[in-house]
Amino acid sequence: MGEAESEPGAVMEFIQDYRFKMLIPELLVVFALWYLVPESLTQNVYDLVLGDLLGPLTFILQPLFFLPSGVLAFITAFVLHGIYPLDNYHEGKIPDLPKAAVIMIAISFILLPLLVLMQMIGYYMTEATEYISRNPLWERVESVGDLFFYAGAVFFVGLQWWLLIPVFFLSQAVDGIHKIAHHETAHEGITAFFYFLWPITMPLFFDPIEIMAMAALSIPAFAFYSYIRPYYTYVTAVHTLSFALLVLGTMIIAMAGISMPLLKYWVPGAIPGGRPPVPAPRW
Amino acid sequence: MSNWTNKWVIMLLLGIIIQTVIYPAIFIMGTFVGSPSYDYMFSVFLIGMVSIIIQIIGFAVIMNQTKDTDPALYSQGRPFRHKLREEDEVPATRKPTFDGTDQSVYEE
Repeated sequence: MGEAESEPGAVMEFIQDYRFKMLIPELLVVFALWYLVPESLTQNVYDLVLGDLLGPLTFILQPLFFLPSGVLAFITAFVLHGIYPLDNYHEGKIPDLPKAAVIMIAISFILLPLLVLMQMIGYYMTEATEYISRNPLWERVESVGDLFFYAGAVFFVGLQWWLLIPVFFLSQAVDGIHKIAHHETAHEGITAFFYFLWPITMPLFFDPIEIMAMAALSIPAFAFYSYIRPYYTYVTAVHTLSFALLVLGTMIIAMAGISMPLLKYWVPGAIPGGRPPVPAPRW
Repeated sequence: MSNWTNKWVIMLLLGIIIQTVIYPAIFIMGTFVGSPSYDYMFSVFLIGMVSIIIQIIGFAVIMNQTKDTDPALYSQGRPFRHKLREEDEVPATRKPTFDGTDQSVYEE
């Protein structure tokens, strides 16, 4: 008690330096992997899906071939946090890269080489605007880097490629509206256009219940930070109204008797039809 | 009171009201019957209700915090635009918003 509290302890400092609060979105993606590919909790997904095609080459994708890929993705989400001190080092905020960060990144490479390679490429893509040029094109590349880094496990472990286009719009939108709120986009109009592609395109890829869940989850998840910072009210207002109108539009499409996802009318089979069954209640 | 007529506040409130009306309406009327994931409807309805409660509390927090503030604050965006993080002491010269001409950042 008292004055000692102002200095964070060693554990707290580690949590802050390695930005472990970002585990919230990262673990949500791991849970999405478990939901979409339940086999990942018991088996090597690469061997299961690509074994016939690649044979022993799947060993390169997951050297610890005898462990379940979903569990490795979970551990990787923790050890890859070595990338955050690496980021601070690149930004010149710390003079030396901590040894623990290097070891953590190395361990993550051993666990899931393909995933971590793509996440590292994604990380360097997010730096593109700093090192190459800031214009609307490189800002879009920056957002795709976010897609690779944060949603990586769904694509490079879960191999859910049908999600690539909707998640592309999502990453453009989430990253873009942050750029607008932070006054750091080269072209506000283009960035806002890419934001609105997110709500507008969702009926193409998802059914009405999924869209309603997306709205109900995304609005407070997106806004909880801004409620205590009223200077972000305008972006919160735009996001809240856009997704309320998305649900309203979805309701109108559904009542007109048109079934979603709409993409199936133009590209049959583009979206897997079956959804995972509802688990039996545990109470 | 003028804060309640600010267009961003009205837009936020409108978004919350639309959700408050249509989530229960969709659930009660069974509007989405026949959707591939209809089995999840009840869970999603509950998530929607919790979501609305969080949004109403958040809205109340915003209005309470800004009672005596100029409504221009609502569309201000991030105030520490030349810094990477609020707690940083020196301006980040690598940021795109920093062109070296804004002298006010050195005064703080």
